[in-house]
Formats: sequence, structure tokens, C-alpha cells
Amino acid sequence: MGMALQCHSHKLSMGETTVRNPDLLRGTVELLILKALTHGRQHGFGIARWLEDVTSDVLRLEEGSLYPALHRMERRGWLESEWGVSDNNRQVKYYRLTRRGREFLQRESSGWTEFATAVFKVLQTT
Amino acid sequence: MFRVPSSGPMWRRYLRFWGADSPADVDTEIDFHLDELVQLFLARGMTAEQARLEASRRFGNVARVRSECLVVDEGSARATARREALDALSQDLRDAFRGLTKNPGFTVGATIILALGIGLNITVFSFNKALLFPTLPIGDAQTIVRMWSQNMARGIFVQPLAEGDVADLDVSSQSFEDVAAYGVESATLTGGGEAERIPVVRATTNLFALLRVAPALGRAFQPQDAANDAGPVAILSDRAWKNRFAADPAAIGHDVVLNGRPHTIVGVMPRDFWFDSKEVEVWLPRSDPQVERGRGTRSLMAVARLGSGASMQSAQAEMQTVARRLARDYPQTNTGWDILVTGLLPFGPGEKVFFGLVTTLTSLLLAAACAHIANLLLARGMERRGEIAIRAALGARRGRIMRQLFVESVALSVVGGACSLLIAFPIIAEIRSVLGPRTSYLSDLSLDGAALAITGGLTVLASALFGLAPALRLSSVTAGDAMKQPPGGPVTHRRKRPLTSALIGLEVAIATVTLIVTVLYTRAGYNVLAVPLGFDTENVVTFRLDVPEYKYAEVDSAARVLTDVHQRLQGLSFVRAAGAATRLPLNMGPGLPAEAITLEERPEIPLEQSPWTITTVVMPGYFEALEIALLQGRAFESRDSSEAPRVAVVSRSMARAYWPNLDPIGRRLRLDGEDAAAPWLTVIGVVEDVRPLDPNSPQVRQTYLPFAQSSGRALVYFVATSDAPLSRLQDVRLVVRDVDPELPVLDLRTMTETMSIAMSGVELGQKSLRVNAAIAVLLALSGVYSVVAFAVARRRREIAIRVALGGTRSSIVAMLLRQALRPALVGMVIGLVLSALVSRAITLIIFGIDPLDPLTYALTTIALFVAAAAASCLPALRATRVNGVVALRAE
Repeated sequence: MGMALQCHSHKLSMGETTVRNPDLLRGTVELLILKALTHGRQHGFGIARWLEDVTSDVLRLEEGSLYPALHRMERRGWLESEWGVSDNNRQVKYYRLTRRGREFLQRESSGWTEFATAVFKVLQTT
Repeated sequence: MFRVPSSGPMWRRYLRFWGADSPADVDTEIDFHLDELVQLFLARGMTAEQARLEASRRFGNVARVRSECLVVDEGSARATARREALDALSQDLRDAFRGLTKNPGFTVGATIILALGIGLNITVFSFNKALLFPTLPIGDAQTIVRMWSQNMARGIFVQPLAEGDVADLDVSSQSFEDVAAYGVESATLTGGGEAERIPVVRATTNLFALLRVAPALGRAFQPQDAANDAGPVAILSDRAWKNRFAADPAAIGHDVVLNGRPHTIVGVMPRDFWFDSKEVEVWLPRSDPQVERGRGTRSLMAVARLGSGASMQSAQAEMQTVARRLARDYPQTNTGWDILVTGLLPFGPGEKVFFGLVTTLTSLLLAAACAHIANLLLARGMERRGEIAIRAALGARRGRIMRQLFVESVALSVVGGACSLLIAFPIIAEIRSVLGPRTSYLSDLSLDGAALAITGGLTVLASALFGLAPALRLSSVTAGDAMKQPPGGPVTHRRKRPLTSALIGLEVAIATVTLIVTVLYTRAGYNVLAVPLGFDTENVVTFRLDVPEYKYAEVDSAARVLTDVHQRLQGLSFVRAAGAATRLPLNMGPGLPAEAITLEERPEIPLEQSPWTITTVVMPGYFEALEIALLQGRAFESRDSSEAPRVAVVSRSMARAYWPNLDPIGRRLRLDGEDAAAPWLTVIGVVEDVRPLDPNSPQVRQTYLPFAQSSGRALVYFVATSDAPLSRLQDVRLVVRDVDPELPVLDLRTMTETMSIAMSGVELGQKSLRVNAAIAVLLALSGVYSVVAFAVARRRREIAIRVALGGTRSSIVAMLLRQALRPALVGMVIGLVLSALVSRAITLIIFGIDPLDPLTYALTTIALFVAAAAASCLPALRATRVNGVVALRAE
């Protein structure tokens, strides 16, 4: 995973076991967010719900840590944001993928798949 | 803990138009998320309390999330601001470039003017700084002063001091912490291949301590080094150490052979150290000045360190008292002599005036250049009213428009400043090559960064201000107003251009004063040339011989070499006359040692007329070669040999001073410096005066002595040829080679060339003033021209109507001229007043001409006026030729 993150470690836990190695998961949250936004614009709460939904609640992260990630990604030009009104008629900030974000997701997710495949193979052979 | 859910006022979003309110935005986001989580858990059947706790747990640390988001946002806000500023700047620069290239005539003209104005100023300021505030390799150079003898009655501005006088003032002075004395000599250096004459300084042992400089290697002089029984020691310059000892640290303790005598090297000075001249290679110690040593010969240089509380002024006041006391105590030698205190470089009163003049005129030129640019910018601004108004109407804010004009003006002056370097560098290089060999202070004259910064800064400021003027003026004009007018602008404003008129007046005033002063100075220069030199420079070859001691130890053998060369030269077929003298015939500046004399028949002379003379030792043929007219008696001949009675030839002013209305031939005199038992000198002839270089100085009273009766090691030869001297240089060289093939022929040139080298500083000064004046006049003329041209462009419609209605051509031209010539006339009057003030201040350097010379003033003013009228006529005449229908239709 090429993009180096500065110092923000995401508190992620898998099942009940907290993953302690931040290197392994570096960039993972960004990738997941990008993936979440491929379906269209979404706010932070919506992204958190989508993550909870698709990972069957296995991958648990402190939902607050999504926000620094969202802001950072916006600064990098992967996302853009706009203010809108939520279903329950409250103002909320929506994020959407930019072209650069979409390209990045494609590039990185294939890398991630290769990596995961490799790990999986190694784990199977032992 | 999170706050009570709130929807937050919608209006806050709109504030984002005026910039992001990042903290509030982040709060809104976080609040929404927490509220939604609570709702979610409530929906799953939790109690309000449980739901809130669970939401808080799932979200994590609110404060940390908030601050992390803010850090990210702040960074991006800064980046955005930076990017926007850069975008705007590059846009402005692009616009400025487009604006400038759209009108290349304007741009090129303005650039040249700015480059000239700035370039000349940097040059003058760099020059002044190098001379007035030199960076010297000396500790606390500002408290070092020099002392000189001065005798204004004899026209001697500065001369070194007499040893006795130095000893006296050292003992008695309160102003000085320390006084050092030294003399510059040349010595023959042997031992390292070919023998060489090198400049050496023989200084009192405290010199380096006084200058607060320590040798880089070895030690400085100690008082005992100067003792009679001490072995001779020397300190080398860094250059000498590198060139002659290959920078070997072991050179300390070795010998350097000077004048055939080994001197132990005790020290090497630091790399960049120099004092007096960069040419000095060796320093030798000398004993401290003694009161009992003579006062008649003034040849010792003196420097002093001002004590605490003393200033140059207080030291000068004290020295005045000392000089008066010396004159009382030693009337024979010190009557009429003052002691002058100066900085390290003694500027004569004339030099000071000249520097002041050049500086003033160059600064005025810069002012004129700025005024000119200002006018161009104003005119252009007015031309662009339409463009600016349209842009304003299209929504460009006034700030944006002003910024663009500002960037344009600044870009213009920056380009001008850059081009000024193209002007300043070559001029500085020329000054360096002409004057560098004369004074070490200018030998690495370079462009001064501070001068560039100040001059450039002032110009940028001036042009920025004037670039903004049209924008400010436009504030009163509505877009509709401006656009309704033809591009020339509203006719109703035509008389309301006081700024333009003032600027034109300023330019013309500066041109007037510059031109008048330059004409005065140039005419004075011709006056100086018109004063007969008293000798002829045509068809004369000069060269120098300096017979080294190592090869011809006895003075007599050296003299034989010099005489031999002289005789052979006289024998050549193409030689009309050949002579030699101890120096060039030019009587210039300090350094001509005046000797006190005693006259046989008038032993009782009032002291203020205590007789003196300047002696020159010559070979027979000298007067003939330089065509110095013999007025009475005879010149030297071969019979005036060392065995014959001692004779002298005196100059006309000497004869007139000491034997008024008497026949000087046969009168006798004695040089006081010589032994009292020495035989009298008998005057055998009187020759015409050789003029002092500065014609304001009193005539030099000269005594010529025959070489055969004085001898010496060095002479300047003057060979008058019957044909072009340039073709004879080689023949002259061969003659010397026949006598001694190793004897170097120094400075072999034609006399004309020698003279022009001697005068090159003066010529450079004159050239600089002329260039300055030419530019000032050009600026003024093009200023006047452009005002009329601009008025014509603006009033084409009006002119066309007048022509159509039958207005005569001359009435229209006159109307246009009035507009430009009225401010020009005012400027000329101001310029005349300024000229009177300036030329009064420079009376000292304008020889033989009244500072208020009516002819110069009248002719210069008339010429300038005619030129200005002609310059304004060009566009005016062109305007009247325009076909009225075309002009009207064009708008």
C-alpha cells in the first residue's frame, strides 16, 4: 500500500480481537471509504452504516475516526464535499468520489487483492 | 460528551461565501453523526441513557476527532489561500506582460529610460562608496586619520610631513591615541631569479598595531627591530609570500634580499590586507621620527588613531595650533605651513566639489527618469480609461484593477532595473580599468548591492505610485461616463492635468540645470586646455629607465648607463632632440617636494616670502625635446659636467619671484637641503613656465639642475623624433638593449599617450557629465514630445472639427504647443535659478568662466527651448494633416 499516512492510527478491531499492527491496516480505512462512496454521495454516518453492514460487523472501527480520514482525503483531492439535507431534514455534509479518488481506488484495490491473496496462500500452506 | 442535538442555523452555511468556518462545520458533522447513532440505538430499544453511552462508545473520542479534522482543514485552507494568491499573481503577471507587449514602443522606451537612470545612479553611488566609505582591511578604519603639510599660498594642498614636525605633533597631541609614520620607497629585490624593483613601505614599528592588524604568520614589528644594531627584518605581503616563497610557512626566519642586503622575514600579513596601495610587497621597520631631524624636507607620511573623545574636527583644530606653534618656533622652515587632518584618502577641494556635482546631477537624472516614466504611465492610464471602465463594468473590483496597474508598473521598473545592470557593469569596469591602477581604492570597484537596492527600490516605488494614479483618478468616473467618451477621454478634462504639467516642468528644469552646468564645465575644460602647457607633446617618445643597484652598485656606474643611453639616442638619425628628467613635466597634485633655498644677494627676506623651489634634474636636450622655450641665457650643455661650476636653469615665474626687475643670469642660490659648504648654484638661463595641471594653482617655481652635477638612478627620457614617434618605439628599445640587454624599458609610449593616461581621470569626469546631460536633455525633449503627441491623440476629434470649420493650421499648432511649452517654460525658469545655485557652488572647478556667464545661460536656454518647440511641433503638425472626415469617423 503506497500511500503513507501521517500519524493517525485508526482504532480498528476485528471481532473481539483488536488488531494491533497499524502497518497492516494502513490505508485500509481510506480504501473502505472510497469503496463505500462508489455507490454515490454519502455522509459520514451513512459510510459507517455501510461498513457495518458489508463487513457483517466484523470490522469494527471507532466511527469518529472516519472524519479525519474524510477530511484528509478531501484535501488530497480524492473526495469532494457538499452540504445537503439528510432524510430527516437536517443539514449534513455529503462526500463524493472525484475522478482521482476513483482511479486511486482501482489501483489500490487490485494491489490489496494481490496482497490478501498472497497472505491467504501463505496461511494455507502452513 | 456530545451536545444537545440541534439542527444549527441554516444561514451559517451562507457565510461560507465569505470563507470557510471550519470549526462550526466540523461540529455540525460530528453532532449529526452522534445524533443519528443515538436515534439508531433508540430504535433498537435502548433507553435514552444507554443509547447515548453506546453512541459515545462507538464514535470514540469526540475532542480528538474534532481537533484532527481541524488540523487537516487548516492545512488545506492555507494551501488554498496560497494557491489562490499564486493564481492571482500569475494572472496579474500575465496581464502585465500582455499590457506591456501590446505597446512595445512604450515598454522599450520606458525600459531604456529606467535602465539609464538607475544604471548611472548605481555607478555613481558605487564609486562614491568605494572612495568615501571604503571597506578596508583595517580595524576601526573610521578612527584613522592622516596628516599632511599644507601650504595654500604655494598652491600645495597636501604634501607629506617633515620628520621633525611628525615627532613634534606626536609628542604634543592630545587628540591621538597613537601616531605612525612611514614612507613609500622602491627597493631592488634579488635572490629569486631576475632582480626586480618593488614598492616597499618603511614604517615605524607601531604601524600595524595602530591599524589593529596582526600578521597572519609570524610576528609584527617590535620597537627593537628599528634599533641601529638590530639585524634588518622584513614583513611580507601575502602576495609576495605566495609568489616568491610558494606560500611556505617556513619562509619565516628566511631572508629576503633587498638592495643587496638580506632581511630576515619575521612575518606575513593576512591575505586581504593592504594599506595605502595594494602593490606594496614588503614592509620594513624605521626608527621613530626625531625632533632634531630636519623640517625642510617634507616626505614622511603620517597616520594616527583618534583617541576616545576626539574627532577629525577636534584633531584638525588642535593641529592648527600645533602648526602655528611650529611656525613660531621654526620660522625658517614652517612659515606658511599648516597641518591638515584628512581621512585615509585626502580629497582636494576640487575633487570634493566634482564628486558632489556628479552625484547631484545623477540623482537629478534619476528624478527626471522617474518623472518621465510617471508621465508615460499617466498618459497610458488615461488612454486605457475605456478598457478599465469596461472591466469595472464587467464586475472587476477596483482593488483588482489597481492591483493590475500596480503589477504592471512594478514589472516595468523591475525590468528597467535589470537592464540598468547592463549599463552599470561596463561603466564600472571602465572606471576600474582607468582609475584602478591609480588608486587601490578603486582597483576592485564593483557594483554596490545597497546602491542597487536603494535606487531600484525608489524607482519601483515611484513608478508604482504613478502607475496607480490613473486608477485613483478613475474613481470619479463612472463606467458609463468613460465609455461614452472616445478612447482619448473627456474633452472637459483637458485643462485639469496639473500632475502632468508639473512632471514636464520638473524634467525640463532638470535638463536645464544639467545642460547649463555641463556646458560651463566643458567650456572650463577648454579654457584649461587653452592655457599653454609650456611644452610640446607632438612627436615625442617617452620611456623610463630605473637602473638596479644589484647590478650597478655605484651611483656613478648607474649614471654612466643613463648618460650612455642619452648619448646614443642623440646620435640617431631620426632624433631631433633627446633629453631626460627625473619626472614628467606635468606639475600636478601632491608629491612635488618643495625645497627651501637661500638666495645669495637677498639673505634678508621677509619670512612669508621665504624662498622655495621645486627641483627637476635634467639631461641636456630636455628643453629642446619638449620645446620648452628658452627665454634668457643658455640651456645645459655638455660642458656643465661634474667638474665644471654648478649651474641651474630657472623657470620664468621663479626668476620673476626672486629677482624682480633684475637680470637673473649669474645670480646664485643654494638648496637648503644640501650641505652648507656646498658650492652655490649659478643661474645660467631662464625657461618658460610649465603650467601646473590645475590652472587655478599658482605657477610652480622651478629650478632645473644638470644630471651630470646631480646624478641618480632613474630617469624619464623624452625623445623628439622627426617623423611619427609610434614607428620609432622599437628603435628606442634597441638603443637601450645595446647598452644593457637586461635593462627593462618601462612605459615606452608616445608623449601624447602618456599625457592622455595622465589626464584620463579628468576625461572620465568630463565624459560622465556629458553623458548625463545628453540623457537629461533627451528625457526632457521626449517628455515634451509625448505630452503634445498625447494631447493630439486625445483631441483628434476636436482638431478635426476645427480644421473642418476652417481653423488655420498654425492656430491649431499654436494651441497644441501652448499646452506643452507653458510647463516647459516654467521648468526652464526654475532650471535657470537652480543652475545659478549649482554653478556658484562649483566655482572652484570651472576655470576661467563666470559661474553666471550670461552667454552660456542664454544660448543653452534658447537651444533647449527651440529643441522643445521642435519636439512638440512634430506631433502637432502631423495632427493638422489628418483628414477630418477620417478622424471623425474613426470615433
